[in-house]
Amino acid sequence: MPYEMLLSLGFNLGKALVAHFTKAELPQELIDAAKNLVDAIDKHAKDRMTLEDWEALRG
Amino acid sequence: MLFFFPWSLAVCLFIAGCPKVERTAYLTATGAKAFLDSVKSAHPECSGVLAGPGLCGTLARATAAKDLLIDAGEVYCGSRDFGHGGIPCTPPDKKTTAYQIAYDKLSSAVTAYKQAEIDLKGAMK
Repeated sequence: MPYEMLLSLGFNLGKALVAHFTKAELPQELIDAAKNLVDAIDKHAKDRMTLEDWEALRG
Repeated sequence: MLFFFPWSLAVCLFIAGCPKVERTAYLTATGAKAFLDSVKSAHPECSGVLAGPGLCGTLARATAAKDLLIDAGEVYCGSRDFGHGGIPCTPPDKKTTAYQIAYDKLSSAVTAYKQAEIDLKGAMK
């Protein structure tokens, strides 16, 4: 798991909440951090563990 | 919208952060392959040794444990179409008895390999 991204996202989430209550716009950093996190999770999920993947580990 | 964002994100992160047994098994097998290959490279005298005491026998047992882990993983992942054209791992329906049996066997295989790895590292000292 991309823990650094989680920490960064948490920090930016706090900034976003402050921005919300002060009626400011959503910080661009939050949007970028969320996108990076989604990309990392997607990449992690792409390892599909096919039969060929398992067989490659034999021997 | 922004009110729900932190909660939905927390749920997504929780789900993403909980490793599934097949993922754990696959990562264990991947690490095992790398580790055992490095030991085999460092000890070419163990080539062809299938059993016995000492480092070479322990290496053979660890390799066998890894292969059993792979077998259990393939059974757990084995849907009807598994093995055809890159079909991904498809675990059995959790409502079936087959799921629990396959889950238990896969979990046991992971544990057995980890013990074999510990034994091998002990033999290497």
